[in-house]
Amino acid sequence: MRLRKRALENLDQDIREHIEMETQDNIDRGMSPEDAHYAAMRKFGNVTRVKEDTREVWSFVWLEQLWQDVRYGLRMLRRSPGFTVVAILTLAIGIGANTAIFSVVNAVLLRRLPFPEPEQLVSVQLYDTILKAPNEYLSIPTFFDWRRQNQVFNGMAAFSDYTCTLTGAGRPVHLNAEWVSADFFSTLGVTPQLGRGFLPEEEKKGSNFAILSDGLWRTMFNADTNIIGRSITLDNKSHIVIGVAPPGFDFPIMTPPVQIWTSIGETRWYDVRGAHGLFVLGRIKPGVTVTQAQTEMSRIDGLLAKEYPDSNLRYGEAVVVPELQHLVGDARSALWILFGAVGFVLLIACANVASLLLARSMTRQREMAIRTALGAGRSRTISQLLTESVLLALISGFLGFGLALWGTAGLLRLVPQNVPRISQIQMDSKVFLFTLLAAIFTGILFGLAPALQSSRRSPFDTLRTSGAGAGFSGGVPQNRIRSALVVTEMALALTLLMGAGLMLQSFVNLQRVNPGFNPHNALTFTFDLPKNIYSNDQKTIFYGQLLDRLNSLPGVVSAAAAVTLPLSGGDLRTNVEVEGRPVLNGTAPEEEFGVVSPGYFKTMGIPLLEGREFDSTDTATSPLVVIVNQAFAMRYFPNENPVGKRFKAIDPGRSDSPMREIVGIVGNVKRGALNEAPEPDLFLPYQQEFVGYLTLVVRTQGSPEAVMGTARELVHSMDASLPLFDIKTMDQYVGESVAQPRFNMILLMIFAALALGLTTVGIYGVMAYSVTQRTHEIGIRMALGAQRKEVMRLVLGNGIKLALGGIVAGIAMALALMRLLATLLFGISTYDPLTFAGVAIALMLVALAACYIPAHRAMRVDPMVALRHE
Amino acid sequence: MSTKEQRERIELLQGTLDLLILRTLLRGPVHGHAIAKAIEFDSDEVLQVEQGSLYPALHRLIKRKWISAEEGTSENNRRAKFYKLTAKGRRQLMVETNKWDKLAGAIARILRPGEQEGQP
Repeated sequence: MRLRKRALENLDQDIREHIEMETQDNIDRGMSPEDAHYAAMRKFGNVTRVKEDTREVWSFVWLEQLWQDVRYGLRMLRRSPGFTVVAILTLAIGIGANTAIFSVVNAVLLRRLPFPEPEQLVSVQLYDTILKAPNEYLSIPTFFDWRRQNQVFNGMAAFSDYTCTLTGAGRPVHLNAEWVSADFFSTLGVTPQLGRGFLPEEEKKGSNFAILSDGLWRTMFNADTNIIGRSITLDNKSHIVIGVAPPGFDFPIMTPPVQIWTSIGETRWYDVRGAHGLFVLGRIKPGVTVTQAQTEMSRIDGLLAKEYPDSNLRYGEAVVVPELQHLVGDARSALWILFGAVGFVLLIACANVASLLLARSMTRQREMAIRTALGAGRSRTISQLLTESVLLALISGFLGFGLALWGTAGLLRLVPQNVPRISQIQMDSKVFLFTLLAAIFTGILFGLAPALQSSRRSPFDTLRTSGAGAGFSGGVPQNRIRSALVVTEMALALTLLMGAGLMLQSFVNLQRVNPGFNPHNALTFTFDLPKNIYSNDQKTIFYGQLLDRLNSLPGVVSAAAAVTLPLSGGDLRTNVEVEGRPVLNGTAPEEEFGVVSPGYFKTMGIPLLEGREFDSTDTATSPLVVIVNQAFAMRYFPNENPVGKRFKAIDPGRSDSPMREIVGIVGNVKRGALNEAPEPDLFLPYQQEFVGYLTLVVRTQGSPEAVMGTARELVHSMDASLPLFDIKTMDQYVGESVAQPRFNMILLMIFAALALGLTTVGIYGVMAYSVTQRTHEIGIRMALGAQRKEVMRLVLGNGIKLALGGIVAGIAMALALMRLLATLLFGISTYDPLTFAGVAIALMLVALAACYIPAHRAMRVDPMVALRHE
Repeated sequence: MSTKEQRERIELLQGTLDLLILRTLLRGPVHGHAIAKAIEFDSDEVLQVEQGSLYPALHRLIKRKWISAEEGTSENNRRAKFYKLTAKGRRQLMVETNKWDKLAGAIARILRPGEQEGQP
């Protein structure tokens, strides 16, 4: 530091002395004093540059220069408020939109799982070699084999969702619960805040231990620290509390979150190898790759398939995926696409501002020329201009961050709640850093071309020409850049419009899909009948009585019960073996089945195509019956009438499953999603095949909500301790099933609208500017006899040329990019020619409209005024 | 400056200026103008130094502690800054000279392979 100060001291004087010495030498050689001085100056070179270069040796200079540039930049921005406001608003919208989407991407895709070494966590799944698809669900015996035989995991945990009722702690509460294996908490690397995790012996059959969530502990047990070792009642069975999970712990991620973890020892399918019900999470040993883990698990599955062909033959392979990826699932590609789309919006904003800057740089040409003449190096000029643009971008970035804060609040209302981790969106430091980087990147991006351009111009030409004439020098390449910017903008906008157009149509198609049932005026709710109070027989009696009473409620058209309801997210599967067509062990096709009450199809509005519905004559002792849907009939009985045919719905828990007779055929129903193709379904009467719980569905005359109160009273009059939950209308289920496509569509529409708006402004700006620039030329043309119409055509022609360029480039870009949307689209091709044509025409019209005002102004140019202007 | 003169003079290679300054200072402390003169004179006026470019170079050398600067008086009794080689600079000069000899030799061998072969 001191060295620097001392060295730089008197630099001016040193240089002056030097020049004086040289001058003296020249005089000694016989030059006139004046000539001698100039010769010395020439020989010395550019004094200012030398001083700057010398100072620069002492590095800190760049900081001083930066500070200078910043102050100067702020002054310049203040001096042209119109430009500044437009540029900042444009960029703030672009950066803000990007920040908002990034906050979603960050929360859902990027944030690490909140566990130690989260990258070691993987989801381990079976691979179904017949369906050629992974099967996430595992049976408990297979899980034990996996855990015992593998060499690649440091811990392996299994878990399975269920619900239960907590009684004895005030009002009965319905809980989201999880059966877990003993190493669940240790594999995740989580230690309970109170008590301990499960011990190996606590996952044995029939064990009854529970770990509470922090929330449950606080709300139901008043954060009582003496809770450990106490007994609580779940589904009328006593459980010993051994721990309380730390606050914020939620795994597996569910809405609403899991409230209690109990042992897999409680499941009734504990030792059934064919009962697939567990998710498996593994912690890979350090140094082992996901691929190696997959190879190892496939090896084990191959052995198991040989050892237990009945249950495992088709699952001779395994799939291992990083847990984060598994968790995020389908949301992944959609979010990246949205992120890309919003990036386009920012690029368009950049192009607009670059275009503005170029126009402004014309008016600053003389300033730049003077700077260069006074000794500013090219890099110095560029860095000053870049400082200005980055400054502009940073101001916009701050504003954009504010916009994003406001925007994410809106986003949160819009986002589908079934996207994992979406509720954890927050504007944290990472998001702020993103905004900052986006702003700096943006500033350099839109500032670079204008800065390079301005600095390239020769100062002499600029200074020599004066006044309006200065506008012409350098105008030609500049206009070329501006044109290129407009073409780029239009191409980007067209691509976004195309994406939005396809998504919109896809969404409309989705809305038009007939779900196969009538979702309007249908109320649904459910409750759990505790196992220890109600035997299965008692449960079926309870449901039977409840249905009778519901059916006679005023305002109720009909009532029924089923598990699971379409679009509600659950599924039950069974293997099908048709009578007279024996299949190899373990290879019987798997189909989805439902358990329904009499009147279910009528209540849901599902058409009965043939045969009959279930009725009260179907009982536990009557002949076993089944109803199938159209797709089932088509697949298994393509050329015959299925009614009267028989097949087995194989129950893995039973050694031999009985034959059932088909008594009816019903229409196909969308089970999982509106965009799925019809799949075979079969339905069993709840009186004959009861899975332990049912969801009630009530068809109402008027608003479904109106009936809710009386229905609740009715249930409570039969058993006051039953909490009702999942109270929803079928319309809500349908709405939730399209929440994700709706979110994608709305966002793409917003981005496309922003893009279109910005592009329109961009085209208008370029055309208006070129007309102003050419006022003189237009004046001459008109003085020489050009008609107003011709002038207008000239300007419009230019605009059309630009627009066509943009549209052609945009179509090429869209053709290349639209296939990314393929998985998100429904009922429309990514190359839909009508959409392409429509978007292209719409963009053309917008471009024409944007050109019209400048063209009109050009037409009105008064040749006298224009020429005098010179 | 005539065109002819310009053609005979050679622009300095990047970085060689540092070497020349160090070599000039080997003779003892001098001021900036004298360094410029010396380089010009010693090279029979072939090397053309834009005198101003001397100053950033001098400061670079000060920063690396190869030379030091002190106030003094010039021949004609004027106040001037004198630049002096440091011990570190002296070592550096040897290194740089060596490097330069190698470089020059290598380039010469590439440019005139025939002449090189003829030498013993």
